[in-house]
Amino acid sequence: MARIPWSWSCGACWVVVGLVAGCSREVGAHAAEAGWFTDVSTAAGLGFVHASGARGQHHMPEVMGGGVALFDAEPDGDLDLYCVNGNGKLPAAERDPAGASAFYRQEAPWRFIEATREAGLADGLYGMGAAVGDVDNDGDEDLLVTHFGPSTLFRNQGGGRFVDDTARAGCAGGGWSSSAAFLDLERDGFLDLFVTRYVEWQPKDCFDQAGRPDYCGPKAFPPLHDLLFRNDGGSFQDVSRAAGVAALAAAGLGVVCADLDQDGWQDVYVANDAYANHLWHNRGDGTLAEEALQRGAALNLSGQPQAGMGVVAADLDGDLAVDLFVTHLREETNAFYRNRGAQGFLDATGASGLGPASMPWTGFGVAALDLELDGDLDLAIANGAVFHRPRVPGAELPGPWADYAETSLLFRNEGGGRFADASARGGALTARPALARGLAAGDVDGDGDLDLLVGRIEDRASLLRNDAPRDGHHWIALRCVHPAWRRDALGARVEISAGGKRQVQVLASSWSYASSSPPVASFGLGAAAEVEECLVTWPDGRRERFLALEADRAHVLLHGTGGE
Amino acid sequence: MSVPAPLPARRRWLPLGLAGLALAVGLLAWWRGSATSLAAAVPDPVTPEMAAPVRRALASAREAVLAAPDSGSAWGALAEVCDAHHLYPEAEQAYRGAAAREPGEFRWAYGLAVVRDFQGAAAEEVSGLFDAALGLAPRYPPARLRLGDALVRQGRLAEACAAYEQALALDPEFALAHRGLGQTRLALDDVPGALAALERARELDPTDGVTASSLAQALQRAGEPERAGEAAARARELEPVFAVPDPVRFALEARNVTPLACDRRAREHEARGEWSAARPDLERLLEMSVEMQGDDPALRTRLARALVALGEHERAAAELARALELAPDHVAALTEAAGLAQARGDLARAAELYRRATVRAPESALLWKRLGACLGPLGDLPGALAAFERAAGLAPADAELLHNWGTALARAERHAEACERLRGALALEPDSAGAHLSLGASLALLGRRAEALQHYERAAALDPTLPTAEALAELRR
Repeated sequence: MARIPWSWSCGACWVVVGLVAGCSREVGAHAAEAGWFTDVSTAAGLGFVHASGARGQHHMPEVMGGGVALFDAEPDGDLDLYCVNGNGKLPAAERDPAGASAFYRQEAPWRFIEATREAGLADGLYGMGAAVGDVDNDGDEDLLVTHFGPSTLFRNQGGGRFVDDTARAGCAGGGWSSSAAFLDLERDGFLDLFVTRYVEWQPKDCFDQAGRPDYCGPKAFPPLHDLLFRNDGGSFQDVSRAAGVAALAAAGLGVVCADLDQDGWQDVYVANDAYANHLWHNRGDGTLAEEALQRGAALNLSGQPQAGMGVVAADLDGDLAVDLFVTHLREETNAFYRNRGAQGFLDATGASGLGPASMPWTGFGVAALDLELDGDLDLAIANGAVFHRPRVPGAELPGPWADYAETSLLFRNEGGGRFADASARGGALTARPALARGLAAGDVDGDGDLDLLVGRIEDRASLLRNDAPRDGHHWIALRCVHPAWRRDALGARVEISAGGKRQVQVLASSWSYASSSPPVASFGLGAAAEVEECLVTWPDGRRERFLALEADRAHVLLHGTGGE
Repeated sequence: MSVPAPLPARRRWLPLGLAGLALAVGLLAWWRGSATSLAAAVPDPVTPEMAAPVRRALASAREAVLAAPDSGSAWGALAEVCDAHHLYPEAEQAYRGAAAREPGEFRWAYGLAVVRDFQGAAAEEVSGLFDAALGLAPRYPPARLRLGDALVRQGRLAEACAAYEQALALDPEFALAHRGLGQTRLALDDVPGALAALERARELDPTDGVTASSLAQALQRAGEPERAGEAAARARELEPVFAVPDPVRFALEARNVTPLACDRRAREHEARGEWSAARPDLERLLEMSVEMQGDDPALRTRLARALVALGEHERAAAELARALELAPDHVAALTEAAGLAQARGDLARAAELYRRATVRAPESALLWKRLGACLGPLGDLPGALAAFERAAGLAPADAELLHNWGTALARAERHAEACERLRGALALEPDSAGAHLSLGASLALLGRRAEALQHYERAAALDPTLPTAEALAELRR
């Protein structure tokens, strides 16, 4: 039987549908402050500071790392943190004992202690990102860390103790990896692994448009193709070539997995930097076909490839189809690809209000979350430049980094695919210019709204408590667990109906940029105090109906326990 | 009552002098204050990390504004230099300064619209600025196209369609406007209209990958997945076309003096043999290279090549000497220096340099050919023949090589072989008067008079200035 983690501070407060009842939790534990996000890092004991290892030579990996992960490592029912770090060995892809990504265990509500070595998660390679998934279906989460160099798989031995099992698992890959995602590509119950890879970087002198020495862009180097590893029951086989993924090389950064065309098979969408994005359509036979161009999700409306960094798959316009949102470079707009079913995707950025407001910034991490619990998904975007830029007022980073610091963004969903810039209300998320990269979202305190973990280059990571006003709105959090697999059913589609409104989310741990978040469907319900109906489409194709789920609670939906 | 005694003359002038002094001090303070406020109003984007030519270009444009603060052209030039180097906030400030002084000048209004669009300004502002610019030049299609693109970014698709259509009314063969119109119609769900516009764009520019990918999307939407797949495959083979044919912006981009821009421009000019246009960018590149990365023999060689073509042999020789000092085995520098020596008649020096180059690049047929061409006139016939043979082994189908080789063989009195090479040369270049002449001479010496006569006659017909008369008279006897 799967262990059911995340009980938060009130004990086992998950309501396991069909098994046990849990407890409720008071809503609105934090009064609204001036900003909607409050930085609680220091009080919480999160002291991680990212070190890029930069020494003025503009080694490109220095501005591309900074991934983060929020996951329950033990699993003891609360979320722990992992912050990915660089090291001082560039341009070599070598291990540096001094370079240290860090693991923080949550000891008590909002109290974390650094436990990297104790957990067996010391990792001295030059880190980029993190992905979380239970690769051996043993009921606890394993951690994959991507690097400038081979990836590392830390297998969870239970109780939050990990061991580097990369060699046995066979998923090291190579080259410069960025984001990674676990998905059950073949519906065999084991999580396969998709790893985006960037470019064949080597030291090179590059200059910005004003002739200043600066970081190179991706086009200065040959791109790498992404990697696909098939899980054969706990160990992996590189099937990139056989599956078709190796046929296209395109400076991949962000990745998200979801059944985008609702054919029952999970597809893979990759945000490529300066190349057309890839939509790998899952043919259901272990192979993938790249169809982004035909389906309208490769390029912006003007047919231009943009600098894709982070990506999220979520229903942003409330039409129950899973859309795509991709973050981009300064002087480009971020892109909102509206999913129009059989008609494919349409770049609806301009009409959404998400376009020009993003042009002054370089977006990386992104989260779709319902800030006011009013039943639609808002957007939080972590920004930070990769090239020199005009200094942003308030940029106070040391050395040259102030010329790269940017403010992050917050957009409020106004319904119908329209968004309004709410950055002024972002509090600690948007207040201080930084080189934000990784962004993970999870309900750290179990109050129903999503808190954020932000990774920042050459800066401290921030744990941001969500204090957005709720106006009495209700919420529900839904995990989908397959007992036979003893893990979360990544890829499940969760559609709810509450108070006459229908909403949908897909369960994934990897989205954003180089980051991992708990695969929980967190819905705001507005005034509705109950979810009348919840329809789950499981990754194996089975559809189940769960009725009358109480609001303001977290529920675990078990495969096989719902109605037809 | 006492009457004040009149002041002495010097004391009478004192208050006047003091007043004058006060006035002068006041004027000076006003002038300095005014100069200070002017200096503060003129953007100063220069930072020490910038490349020297960029710093100079920006500083000199700024000084021109300070020297003539009422000149719209000076402000506009500063704006364009900033714009060309993507220093958009400063460009915006200077464009505003230029437009305030020359409100009728299209370039300033247009530049301001473009940089505000690049900076993500609000929809109303951007479209207002483009409208203002178009009010000054309503018949400039690129501005209509850029307005269309800006409106697309703002999500005002129907207005964008109108802007593209206006661009097409001015220039019906504007491929990018057809493309934009097709893409926007597709977003508005007008699939047949989109297909028509995109097909027209493809007719006008079949090499554009962007049009091909948009067509793929339109065909998919039209329910033709197979054709969509083919179009997508074609799109992956093609390069995207983004450069708007926009003379105003092209002129502005020429102000960019960064290494990347200079190198791109120089290479374009070099490929077209536009040496005087290539030269300033090569000079800048060299300067920046010396400053930032150390001296670069390859750049000195490229500059020398341009200088040779421009007839500046002394300077070219100096550049090549420096290049070879830095990298004695630099093949391009050796080749260029040898070519220069050859052109100046110093065949011995040329041969020595070619020999050094062939050591580093033994697979270069060109080097062996040129070495042979130097050694022959120097009297080293065995050396020349060996070099030609080596060249022919690497690239046999070369008319010039075969001609020179044949001539060398004839000088070595190996006429049968000479005839074979010269016939080979003529097979590749049937109208080579020189090859006909050489072949005629060898055939005559072999006693094949009729054939020799034919080739002499052909040589004379192709080039009447060739010395064929005596041989012809002899052969016709």
